[in-house]
Amino acid sequence: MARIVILGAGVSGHTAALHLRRLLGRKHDITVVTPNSKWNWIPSNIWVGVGRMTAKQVTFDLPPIYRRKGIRYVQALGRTIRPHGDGDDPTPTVEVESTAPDSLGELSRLPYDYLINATGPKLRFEATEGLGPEGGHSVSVCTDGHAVHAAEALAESIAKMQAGEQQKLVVGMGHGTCTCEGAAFEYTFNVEHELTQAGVRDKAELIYLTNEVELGDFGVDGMVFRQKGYQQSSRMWTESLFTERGVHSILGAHVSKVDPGVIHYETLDGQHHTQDFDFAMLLPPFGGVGLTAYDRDGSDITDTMFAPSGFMKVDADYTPKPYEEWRAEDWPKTYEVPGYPNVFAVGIAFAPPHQISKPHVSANGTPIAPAPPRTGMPSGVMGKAVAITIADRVKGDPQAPAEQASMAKMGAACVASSGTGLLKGSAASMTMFPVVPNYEKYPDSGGRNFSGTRGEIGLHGHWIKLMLHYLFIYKAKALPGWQFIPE
Amino acid sequence: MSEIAKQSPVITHYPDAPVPTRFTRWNRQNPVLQFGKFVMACINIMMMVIKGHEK
Ligand SMILES: Cc1cc2nc3c(=O)[nH]c(=O)nc-3n(C[C@H](O)[C@H](O)[C@H](O)COP(=O)(O)OP(=O)(O)OC[C@H]3O[C@@H](n4cnc5c(N)ncnc54)[C@H](O)[C@@H]3O)c2cc1C
Repeated sequence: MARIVILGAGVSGHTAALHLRRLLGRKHDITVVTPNSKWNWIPSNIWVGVGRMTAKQVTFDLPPIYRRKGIRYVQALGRTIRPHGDGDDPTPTVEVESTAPDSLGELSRLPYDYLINATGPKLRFEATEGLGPEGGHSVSVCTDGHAVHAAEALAESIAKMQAGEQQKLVVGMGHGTCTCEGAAFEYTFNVEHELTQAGVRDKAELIYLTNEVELGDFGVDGMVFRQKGYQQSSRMWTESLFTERGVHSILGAHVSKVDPGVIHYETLDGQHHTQDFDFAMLLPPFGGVGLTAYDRDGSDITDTMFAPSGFMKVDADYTPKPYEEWRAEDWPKTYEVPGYPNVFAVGIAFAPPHQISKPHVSANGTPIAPAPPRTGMPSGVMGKAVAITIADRVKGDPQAPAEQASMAKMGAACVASSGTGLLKGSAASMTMFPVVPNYEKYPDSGGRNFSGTRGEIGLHGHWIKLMLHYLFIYKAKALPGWQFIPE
Repeated sequence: MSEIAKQSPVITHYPDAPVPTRFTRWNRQNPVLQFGKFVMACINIMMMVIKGHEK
């Protein structure tokens, strides 16, 4: 009997757990360790954040699903990996700290034959003074709880506008190295839509504040589309939308501090500015969740297994090199941790070899550039690929070659909502192939294949986003036929 | 960065960006046309999923 431990039950970890159970049957032991008993469909937090969905509509309880599927559920945080065991016992283990109310803080060790790190991001609000809803002065939509709070703050601001006050609303990135620009973009336009619906659009100045050097970069170096016989770019497309909807923007910005009602930021030219606000939703930068690793003799091997960012090193080429030398081939394919073939890291938890967007530093040397996004679709695909690798090795040859799922060879669909409503909603739906551009293979089309890279704005995008909401929650609940819904 | 960005960090509009005509805006919200686009977009996404990875 093989013991497989999965740290994290988000998009990638939960997908891996369900596929492992499907591929391995009940003979083997699958354990999911996750601190939260609820599963959250994070992309729909945007709608919670404008009061159009409730937290209940974007979450559900995990334990009943795991009971039904025969997956062991441990409500805890993964803390320390001992890949070669400890002292006399060479069994690999992971130490976990309980977050269950009845055993809060208790430590225990789980032995494993295979380990998947799918712990997602640590929301690093502390990277910017005064950032975030817990002790800071801005709101967030990263969790369903944050999004509920954001919706309350937005409603207050709208009420003030309805009473005749002018308001300044800022949405964007709370640090120069943030990722998830797509999410901030979506929230900006959902807020704009709500202001229009509430009849107070003329009372608001809405500003999108971003670390992108130009609009439409989205942390993937932008996209080039072919439409109606012309090449168009995501930059032109996005600038058009901002102009049409009257949304202002601040580009290439690093937020250094958030005071009550005032954002302090630096721009690429090295100048420091302030922006006053009445409502600010600023995303935090992401980092690894702080797992540590020890060898059997007790020596600290955290630096061997993890990058300085806290994300786990996998089969990528991490050699530092200038932007001009970055290659699509640098990106990982199997998500195996070098030297530890039974340990994998998927989704946001793996360390990317480098950014996708061109890196920039301000005149003062401050890095201002989006970190590479690892969105839902690639995260799910990686989770499934690693589940197949492990199942092949458990059922047959322990040296069986790993399933590959490189972000430089897979496509992704991104649907960025720009307002909700069955007939009034809209969204920018984009597909890109591959996610990581390959400038050698596609030199004239922004590193991507034209036939797989498209973009369109309209009501149909909203329907797609809504359909994905219901489909992915259905799939995550492992209801009949879930495996036929693609990642 | 554009000229406007050098003058003030807050960009209020992009003068070179094409702004959709009324017809385009109507198209974007027309349920019948959009249903066709919805079907095409679903096929496009499914094709990408079925084709899987580039070999
Ligand atoms: C506001 C917002 C909107 C987004 N919108 C979209 C979108 O429209 N489309 C899209 O494709 N992507 C979107 N994304 C990105 C998407 O949410 C991520 O790509 C996806 O969630 C990544 O999956 P993951 O499994 O790596 O991490 P997560 O889904 O974050 O899961 C991580 C899991 O690990 C758990 N965990 C944390 N620490 C530990 C620990 N120490 N031990 C054990 N478990 C731990 C967490 O509780 C969680 O269950 C959005 C992200 C945000 C923040």
